[in-house]
Amino acid sequence: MPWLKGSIRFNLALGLPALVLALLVALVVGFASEDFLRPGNLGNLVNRIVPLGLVALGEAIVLFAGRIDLSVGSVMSLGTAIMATASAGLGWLAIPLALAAGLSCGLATAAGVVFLRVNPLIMTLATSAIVKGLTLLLLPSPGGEVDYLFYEAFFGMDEPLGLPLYLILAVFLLAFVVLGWSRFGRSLYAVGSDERSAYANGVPIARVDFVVFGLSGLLAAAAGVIMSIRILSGDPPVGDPYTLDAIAAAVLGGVALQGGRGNVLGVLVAVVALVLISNAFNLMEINTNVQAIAKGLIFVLALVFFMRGKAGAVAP
Amino acid sequence: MTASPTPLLSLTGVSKSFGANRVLKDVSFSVLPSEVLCLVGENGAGKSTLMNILAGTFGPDGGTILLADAPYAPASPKAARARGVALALQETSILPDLTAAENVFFGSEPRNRLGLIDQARLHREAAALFAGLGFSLRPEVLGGELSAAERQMVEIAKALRLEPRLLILDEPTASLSSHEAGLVLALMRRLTAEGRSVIFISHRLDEVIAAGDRAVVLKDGVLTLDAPRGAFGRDDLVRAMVGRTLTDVFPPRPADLADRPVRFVVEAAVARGLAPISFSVRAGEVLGFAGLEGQGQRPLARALSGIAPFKAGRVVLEDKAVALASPAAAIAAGIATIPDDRKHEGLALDLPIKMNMSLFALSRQTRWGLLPLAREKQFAEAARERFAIRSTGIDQAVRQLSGGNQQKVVFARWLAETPKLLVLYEPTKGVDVGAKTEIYRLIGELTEEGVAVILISADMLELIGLCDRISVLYEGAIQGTLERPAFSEEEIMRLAAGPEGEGALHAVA
Amino acid sequence: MNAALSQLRPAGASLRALALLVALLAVFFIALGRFSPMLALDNIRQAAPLGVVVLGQALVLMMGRLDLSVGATASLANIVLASVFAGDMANLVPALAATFGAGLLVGLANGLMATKLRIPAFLATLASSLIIAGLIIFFTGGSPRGSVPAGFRTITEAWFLGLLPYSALIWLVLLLGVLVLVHFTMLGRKMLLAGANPVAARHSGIPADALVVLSFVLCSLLATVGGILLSAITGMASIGVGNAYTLDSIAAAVIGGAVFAGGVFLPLGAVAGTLILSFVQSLLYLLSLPAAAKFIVQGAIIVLALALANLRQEKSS
Repeated sequence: MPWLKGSIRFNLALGLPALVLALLVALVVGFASEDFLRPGNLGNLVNRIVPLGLVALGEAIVLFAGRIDLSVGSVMSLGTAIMATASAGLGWLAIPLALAAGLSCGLATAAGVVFLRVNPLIMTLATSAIVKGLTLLLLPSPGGEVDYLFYEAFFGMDEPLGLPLYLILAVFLLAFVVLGWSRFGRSLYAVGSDERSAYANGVPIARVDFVVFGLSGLLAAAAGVIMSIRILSGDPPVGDPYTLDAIAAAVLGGVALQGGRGNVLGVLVAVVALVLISNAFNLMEINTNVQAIAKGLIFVLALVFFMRGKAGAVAP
Repeated sequence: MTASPTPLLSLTGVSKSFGANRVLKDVSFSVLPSEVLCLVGENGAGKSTLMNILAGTFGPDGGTILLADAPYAPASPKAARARGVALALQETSILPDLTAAENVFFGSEPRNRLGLIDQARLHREAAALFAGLGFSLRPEVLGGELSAAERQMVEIAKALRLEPRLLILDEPTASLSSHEAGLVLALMRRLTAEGRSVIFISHRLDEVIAAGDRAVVLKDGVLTLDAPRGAFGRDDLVRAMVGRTLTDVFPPRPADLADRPVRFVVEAAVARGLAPISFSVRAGEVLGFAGLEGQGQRPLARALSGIAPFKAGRVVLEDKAVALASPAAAIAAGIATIPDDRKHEGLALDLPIKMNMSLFALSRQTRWGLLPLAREKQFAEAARERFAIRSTGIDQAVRQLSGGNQQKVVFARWLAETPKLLVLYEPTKGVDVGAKTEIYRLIGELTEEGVAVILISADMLELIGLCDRISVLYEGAIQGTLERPAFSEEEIMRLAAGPEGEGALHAVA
Repeated sequence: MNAALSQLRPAGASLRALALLVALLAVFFIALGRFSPMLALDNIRQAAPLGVVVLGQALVLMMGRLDLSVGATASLANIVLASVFAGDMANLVPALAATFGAGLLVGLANGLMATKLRIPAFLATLASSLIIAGLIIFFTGGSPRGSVPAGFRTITEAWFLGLLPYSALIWLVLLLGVLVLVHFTMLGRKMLLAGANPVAARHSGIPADALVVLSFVLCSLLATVGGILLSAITGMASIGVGNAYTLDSIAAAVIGGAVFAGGVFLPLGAVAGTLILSFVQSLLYLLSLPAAAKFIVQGAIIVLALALANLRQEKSS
């Protein structure tokens, strides 16, 4: 396949372990539990893949550029809060409002990184605190209301092959093509690969920062919108675990934490793998707290496996 | 005499300072069309700054530059390229996670009808480009896996793709074999035949004499020589670079070294990047290691310092076998290794001078683990005087010192106690001539005290001036060892190019 | 003596933080309507747990790393202490031993992940905070048992000679301890050098990795002390009582002038940062602002402090 020549091929190969893992888990669970293949369960899986997938995609884009975003969970929560409070009055206009809010958060983060020269790690920690506060101001406790019509429109009958699946596939495919085969996408990888060289080659670093953080905010907010439609309400703490989950999915999917390597299809497959594992735990009726511990351990294992030989101090 | 043609590039009174450091002072020269201009100068003489100004990385503080009679002041490297000036730096801007082909085309990748990058065409065209230049590069290798020489070639290919009017090559042959270097020289001749001009920066004086239509020498930011082909020879270049003849800069070497005891022996030692290597050094002797870049110098230095130990073989210091298994072990044995990259490997730049110097001086003097702070101050003041370190005081952050003074701080740390063996890896890289002379004098004094010295350096003048013997490395093995009477740049280069038969082919004139 | 004193001269960043603190105190008293040193000292009494945690974070920052598990570690200390005490002073020794043992394990795990396993410290500690939180819920089943006896609670309730709260005294002692360690001992000097430039340190025979592990262990132990002090204040076990300390400690360190590059140790700045945060919180409470405002103010403070520090650095270079 001629269009897969060069670095694109290397980056795709990085996603293979995640693919293997996902297939393995699917096989094991498929055989172990007859509930697994029921359309209801599969539909449920897709519904859970969508929000995590969107957040992980945004995080991966930031990671490609050699940055990190620890605020995605908070922005997602903000998305749910805006939907829950505004959808009654604004109807479906609440969706673009929430997306715009997410985009703004991302752009504000980028402004801090670019103009104030704050390290992205700390900047996004700070942003996540500010956004969390704003979310709590908007929605002090889980509540608000998202009309069932949204649910019907988006999730329909919870079949696996519905709008959510098409949406996530389309978004990932688009990202894959743009990142791999556009000049701007390549310049994004270049910044993560070697920022100094990228600058020497004429890449507008500030523009890249605004794009990646803006996208990550936008996608996190989109995930929040979809989540709020699913739970038909807003929930400030709902996004908290998603930050680490998104990073875990990215690392598992072959994205290098120091930037410059990896591809989004691997991330999608990793998201599927993680959701499958979680689903497997549920089907096996394992305590959710044990699940949390297991998730932490899996994360550590993924990091060790993928970061062999690469030094790690504080990131970006 | 015909009327002189309009220069392609002319610099008048160009100056540049970084903070209090005046790097370029009133530099004026021109480059004619179809001319190869050789720019020569020591490290720190101002060559890179001048090149960066021409390439658009930053602008001069004073003076004017004209390109084909029009004012030339590019705001960025991109703007410079648009004006037809391309630069291939020694410090390459290769992106490690993109392939060689993708690096060459970065920013101007060929696209198909859909507006998407055409990867296949990109790699095909890169392959054709490399073939046309005579480079044996595989387009699909990732940037991070290219050797230093291959990175140079990609950088050159990248610059040439833009068909520039003026090509600036910064030390292109530093890491190339003589065959590849010949290719580059032939390339330059082809370019000038096409009407382009080349500024060729090189340390290799024989290349300068062979290839240069004109030579220009920078010393401490000032132009000290500007002469056409035939009007300059090696001695003229050296004198213009260094300011004095070799005998003035380097301390004299004793003649009775054969009587001294053998201090340090390495037998069949192996490390990654080093073939089995054996050598010995006497007390008070300076053994030099020369060679092209990447022929085993770094692995040797790292093995001697203990940070990347030898995997096999025997090491004997003062008739006792030692295992240099870690830096602490090497230090305890009495081996001091001064690394080549002081900013990364030698100094804590934001800490004060006294803290950078005092580590070894104090480590044997602690009581109950407490630091003898008064003694630290004493030691630091004494060291500052002994090494003539120019600073505002021992509390000044090392970052603020000049390269030469920073290097002296590194020396002060390692020489707190006189070592048995001193390993120097590029000790005067980025050091001004004044500090260099002081460092050479210091090395001379140390050898008088009986210290055995190993000097690993790319600076041939330095090696020839300081050493008693020079071993030349090629692909991790000692290709040959020269005694002092037989020292010459040609001999060293001949050995550095590898065994006879390899690299014997030179490009067609 | 001269040389020793010169070591103690506070860095410019710390002084700026102290100046900010004084300004903030003025605002605080104006908002309060009266000048009450007792109230200020009481604030300090309650800020001591966080203050101790921030000292630990400062040590890790000196090594160029970040510890995002300090909050979870403090929460863990609370759970272990309360359950082993079970309200009975006779269990003092086993309670403290178990609590410090747990903290030691966390520190070792963090340190080993960050060095031997080469996991970026912030991710390793993020993961360990998740694991700790999960373990807490798992072992307590969501309803923690135990309590801290009144006899122990005196360390945060009582005042020394009526002048200085004991908890502040403990904070002061630990502050002096880390100061002496870094500025006056060979071990501390080696840690500083390793933090400033780990590669150069290794070339000079300093065991940089081992010292990084040490810094994480010390940090977790200090976080444990913070959790113990916090437990003495609350008197009981609650899930996640110390979790806020993670972000708080970073905010406090940053306000105090900490940098993430390593090689800088600013304990006075850490103290000033802690007090500033504590007074800001009191101020928010005085002005009847909702709890959510705390997060916003924290985030904003972090950004402002870092931006100011960066811009100042650019002007000088």
